[in-house]
Amino acid sequence: MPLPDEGLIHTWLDGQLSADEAARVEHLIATDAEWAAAAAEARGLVAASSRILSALDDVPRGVLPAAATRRPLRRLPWWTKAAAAIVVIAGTSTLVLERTPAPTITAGPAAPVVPVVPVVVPPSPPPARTLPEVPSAKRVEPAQRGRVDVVRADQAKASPPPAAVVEKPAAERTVERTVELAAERAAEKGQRESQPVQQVQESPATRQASNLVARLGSQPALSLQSVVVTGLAAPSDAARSMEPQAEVKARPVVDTTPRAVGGGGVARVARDQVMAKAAAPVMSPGPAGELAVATPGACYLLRDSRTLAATGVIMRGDRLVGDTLFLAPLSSASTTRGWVVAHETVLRGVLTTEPEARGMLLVTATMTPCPLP
Amino acid sequence: MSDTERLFTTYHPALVRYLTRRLGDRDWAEDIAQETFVRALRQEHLVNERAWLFAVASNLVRDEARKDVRRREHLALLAADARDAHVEGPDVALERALEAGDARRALDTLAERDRQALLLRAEGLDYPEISDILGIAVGSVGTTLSRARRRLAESYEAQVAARAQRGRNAAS
Repeated sequence: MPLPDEGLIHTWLDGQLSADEAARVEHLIATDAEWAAAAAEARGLVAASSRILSALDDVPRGVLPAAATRRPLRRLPWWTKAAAAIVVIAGTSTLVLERTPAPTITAGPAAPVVPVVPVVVPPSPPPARTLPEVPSAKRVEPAQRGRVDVVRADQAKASPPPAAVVEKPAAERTVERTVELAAERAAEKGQRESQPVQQVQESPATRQASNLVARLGSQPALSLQSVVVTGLAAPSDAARSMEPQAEVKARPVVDTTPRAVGGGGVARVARDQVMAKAAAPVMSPGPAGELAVATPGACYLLRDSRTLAATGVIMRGDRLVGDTLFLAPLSSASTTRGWVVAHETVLRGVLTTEPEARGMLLVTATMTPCPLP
Repeated sequence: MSDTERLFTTYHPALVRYLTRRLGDRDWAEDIAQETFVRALRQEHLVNERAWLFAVASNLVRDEARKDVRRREHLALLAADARDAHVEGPDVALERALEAGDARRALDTLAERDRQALLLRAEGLDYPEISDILGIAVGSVGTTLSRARRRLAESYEAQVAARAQRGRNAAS
């Protein structure tokens, strides 16, 4: 009778022996006490090692310091942002003035309600739309085109939506209102500055601001800060296809659920939904402070996870499988595929092309407005 | 389901678990797993996907420069976590954390080949796959595993006993 072979017994317990060998080992175990004892001990070792290894699975995520995995964000002073806002808004208004004929418009005390159309995030010149004439309309001079209205959240809630009536030239009014906004922001610095601003874009601007305020005001994740309407109203045929834009600025309310991390970012207001409200397993700030929510149907801007540089690729969340959000291209002709895994701090994954599997990249994804088809 | 998705859904959980057990860090494990899948997708044809994935993942873990840096960070954080657990953690969480620490230390006492064989087998890889990854004969996988299991169990018992002794010393 051979001495017990521990390796052979483990091989048998693991089911890795051929039928003949397994039968031989079983016979030895059944007929020899030493083999039987060795087999019992081996069973105990297999069970013990399995239990010990399973203890290793209780490993928390995110134990590495943030600095080791993410580039620290550089925070700009408030006046830099205000100056940038002035330049962008004034430049946008000027561009509209130059590109559009000089018709007159009429507008009523209340802006008409029109369907909401998702728009791409700027930069793009604010488009125009003809406003229907109403009996109480007030005539507006050509030089008043390209106006910018700033509506405080509390004003918008308490009063009717702003009428499309302006009294000053667009550029002048734009600068005035932007400076007002900058001053208000400066006054509200401190605690609020610690939370970046979310921008929710909606087009056309003629949608009643009160509707927007009511909608956003009901969102648990957003606290409305202001509404900025850019663009112009013009009845010309050339301008009919252009859409003004409304920019709603809101601050996120910090979510204290274990897997959610508050952060500012970009969300999109679609027809009857707010993306930020969509059921999302994970919310987190992206490398540039954007909102990263693993949500099927949402669009994501992909960045190289090593350099954090934007790849320029936007993909749509296809479906969630566990923590993994599979990404599909916006165009059916594209073979680009990808997935991201919802980490606590960021959505990370892979961007690839099929079937060649070329140009693959480790990426991070942050939610971005879906481009118009 | 595309090939990419099938590969991911089939092997990602096991690969991450294997790497997490091996590295003791879920984030690091997922990084390695992602890198592994990127490399897998670059391959035109894989004869044995599972063996290939685990072999590549194992090779990536061997990146000593990265391992050393992050291991130091990890150990520092584990120490901080252990301190926090002593102060704030409930008894159950503390006990679990201590068990995990014992298991980690026990696993670290094994030779690299034994440790790898153990973890690969725990993920269901068969002996030929393990032999391919480790570069050893199929016939010696059983011996390697039996040795690894015995040493792991013995080392774990030693860790538990040492911890109990430290507790008694602290109490007296």
